[in-house]
Amino acid sequence: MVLRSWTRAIGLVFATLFSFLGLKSANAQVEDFVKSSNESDAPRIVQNCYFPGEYARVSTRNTDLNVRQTPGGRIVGSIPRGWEVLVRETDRSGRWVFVTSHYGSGSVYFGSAPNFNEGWVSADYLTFLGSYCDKPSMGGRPMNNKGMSPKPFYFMESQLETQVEPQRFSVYEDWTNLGDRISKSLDD
Amino acid sequence: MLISKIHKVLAIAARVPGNRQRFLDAGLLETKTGQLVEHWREKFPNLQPIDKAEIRNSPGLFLANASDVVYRGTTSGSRGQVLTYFAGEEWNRLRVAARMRSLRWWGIDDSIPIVNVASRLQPIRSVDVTLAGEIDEGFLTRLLEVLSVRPAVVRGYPSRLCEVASRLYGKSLPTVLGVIVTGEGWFEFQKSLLERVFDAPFIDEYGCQETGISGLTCPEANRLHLDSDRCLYEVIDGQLVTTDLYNFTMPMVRYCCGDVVELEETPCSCGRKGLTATVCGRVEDTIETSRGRVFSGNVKLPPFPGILNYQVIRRETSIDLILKEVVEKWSDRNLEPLDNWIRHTFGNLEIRYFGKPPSPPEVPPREVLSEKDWISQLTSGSWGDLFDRSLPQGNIAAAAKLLKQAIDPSIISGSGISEATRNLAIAVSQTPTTGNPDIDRTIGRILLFANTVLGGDELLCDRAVEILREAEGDRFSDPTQFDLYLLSLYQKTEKLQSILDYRPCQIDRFNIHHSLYGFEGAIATARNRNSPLTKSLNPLLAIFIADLNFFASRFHTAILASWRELIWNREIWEISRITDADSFLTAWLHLRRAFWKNRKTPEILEAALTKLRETAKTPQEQAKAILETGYVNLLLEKQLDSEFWLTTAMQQSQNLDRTLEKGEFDPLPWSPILRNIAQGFLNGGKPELAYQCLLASAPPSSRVSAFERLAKHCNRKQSPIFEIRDR
Repeated sequence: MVLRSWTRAIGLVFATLFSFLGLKSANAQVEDFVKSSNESDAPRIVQNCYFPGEYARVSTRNTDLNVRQTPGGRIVGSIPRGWEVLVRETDRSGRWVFVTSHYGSGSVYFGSAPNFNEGWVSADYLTFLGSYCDKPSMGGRPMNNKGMSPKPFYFMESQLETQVEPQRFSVYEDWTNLGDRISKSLDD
Repeated sequence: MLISKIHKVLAIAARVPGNRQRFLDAGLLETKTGQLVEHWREKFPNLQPIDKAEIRNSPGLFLANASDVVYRGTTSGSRGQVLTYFAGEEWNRLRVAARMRSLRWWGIDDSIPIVNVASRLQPIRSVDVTLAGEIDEGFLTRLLEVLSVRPAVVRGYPSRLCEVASRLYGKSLPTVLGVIVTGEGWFEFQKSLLERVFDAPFIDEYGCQETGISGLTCPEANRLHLDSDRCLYEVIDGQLVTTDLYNFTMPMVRYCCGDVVELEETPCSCGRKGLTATVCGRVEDTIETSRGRVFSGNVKLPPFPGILNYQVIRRETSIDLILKEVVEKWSDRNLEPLDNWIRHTFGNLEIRYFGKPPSPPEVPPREVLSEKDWISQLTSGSWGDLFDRSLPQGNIAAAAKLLKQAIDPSIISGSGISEATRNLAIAVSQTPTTGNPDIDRTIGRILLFANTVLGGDELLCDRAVEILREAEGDRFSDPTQFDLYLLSLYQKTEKLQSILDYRPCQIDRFNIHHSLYGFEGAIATARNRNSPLTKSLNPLLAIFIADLNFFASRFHTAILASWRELIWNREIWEISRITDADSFLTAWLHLRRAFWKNRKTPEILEAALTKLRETAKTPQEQAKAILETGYVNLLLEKQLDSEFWLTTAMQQSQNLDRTLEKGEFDPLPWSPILRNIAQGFLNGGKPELAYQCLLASAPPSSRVSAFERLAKHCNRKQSPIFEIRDR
């Protein structure tokens, strides 16, 4: 319970950093000096954000935005409202957009977006921000509280003949986290 | 020979449910018997290749054996979610041998360190190290320090190595024997930069671990030689498709790794046999050029004067060029060759130039604790929180830095600890005492901790005892006594035995963190002594950690003595001397002695177990007794009932550890049992549960943890050329 509260607390800290620290300082460094190569008198260099790419913000009303494995397909995750994502691809219909985080989703667990996964989302719920500007910040460190497996595994209880509740587990727990977890019993 | 190898792996793979349908579709199986057909060689080309996504959907369906699991690998996950795969003893042995063989072509033997730089690459041999994290001045200083110890080989993703090389450009470097690039395709300008900065031969390493693919360029002709002994290679629709000839645990047959390759048609002039190839990149990485759509690996990115490192982004109507590091003042004049090259390669598109990306915004440092508060948190607070802060100043500063380096190293060494940390430990040990008992006690304890991480250093240990005697006098406090005796689990220090009084002992948080590292040393000692317990109770480390978790709040020094007996297989004390232990603990101590002393005598083990069950009163003690029953069954080499034990583990996990949240399962105490029951699930037609049991029985490791913490933030791959399709 304490562990979970701690996880939530850190998630909140990161969310705060995302909103205040990262975006402000990143935007402050953006100088919009883009020009086409056939204009020779203007500066040719622009300062870009840390992760070049095309960004969009999740603009659902109240709910998280579902992430799907394929356009219109199975739901594989969700992204909270207000989150900024990196746009990788749009399908032919223009209705579905493949999005990811600037870290990729494979090895990252975001404290304030626990169900984050890369995949296809509906373009109707994205506000496109353009290139080299507003972006998920490095100010908030991706959180992976339990080490290597950012998302917990589940035992497939349905394959068990006996009735037990589903159980989630993690492996390769962070060593310091493990020590802190065991230490909690000293407080009893 | 090759045919018989393919036949062997196909016969095993044919029994795996994940392969059944495609084997049937290919006509490879007798429909009645499920055996390979006699003319399997004719049918093999019909077999539909399989890719990682398909295996990842239901990895258990591809598990053929849950007993021979020596290697547990995880794909990099750079393209999506990770896949954990398993392999056996023979596969692992051949993998290591193949690597050694190809490194020797370049004169890289086991005495030459390979320094993995800024990439998600673990040290493989004991001489190797990994430096990861943000590439800042501190990083570069550490790299130069490591390289100056002795000539070494540098290894990493080319894009990350180029970032490092750009920062080192123009500096005088220690001798580098070679630069190995791996994990990404490389381009001409990268090769040019790396050769210039490191003044060393450029070596291309290609691999896809889960398929058994490995390859290295040869020094004579610079051709990429694929290790044809371990794999059958095919190219289908331009993509590399392989059959791993030695993974009988999770066979990969006609596995499509997603790389586009071109096999060379002529033998290599170096004289080595086997296939040579050119890797063109990932199948999904294509880019529109003036020649049409090509694989991005086929676009030549040449070096340009004055520009060290750059990145090209192809958009629908424009090209973005990011000039990451330049050595000359920018002007239209030195951008002209780039303009020309872009027009030649991509046609007449708008070109937008971008400068060096700014550094990520810094997170303001958290409040620095005073010495007193730091020491207080070290013994009674969260270490996660403590080491997230800046280190304290004052007399404790060097020792605090030592502890930080020991638990959160910036360099991961294959041998366990870096030279810098070793030297810092020596320096701290040579510092005079301060006269402040709290500070001196803490320094003494940190030296003991460093001794543990170093694997035992007599001088360091003696100095720590000296400091602790000065701080505490002749009668050591409980936590200090614990720290001192912990060393005897892995270090031959007979004089420590007399330090221990057998009595209840109030341990602190420092002891708990120290134990986790001490246990690793202890298990390594047991393994070196060929203790049979390391085989029958595998991973033994998990059992020690579970014991600590169970007894931490009611610790007794006899538990330390019991662990020591288990490691050294030697009786060192009389249980009857203990008068102040509760009945459950006394019964547990008797049982644990029987673990090593009577492990072949079921009657004695059973009797000790019965006694333990009788004394178990609380739900936590009852859960512990059940857990110990599982361990005893493993010692007696009984085949455990998979259904019963998995259900029991899931039901008892919360009783055993009440800090767990509802629905949360801690696999650690149960991992030797889970490992054992995996094969039962596989035999019983429940491969997914078998796979999950293997997954959950991952051996705990401080090194994996330290590597993950170091590598997870800043070691992303960055292709120097890619396309963004505009909306």
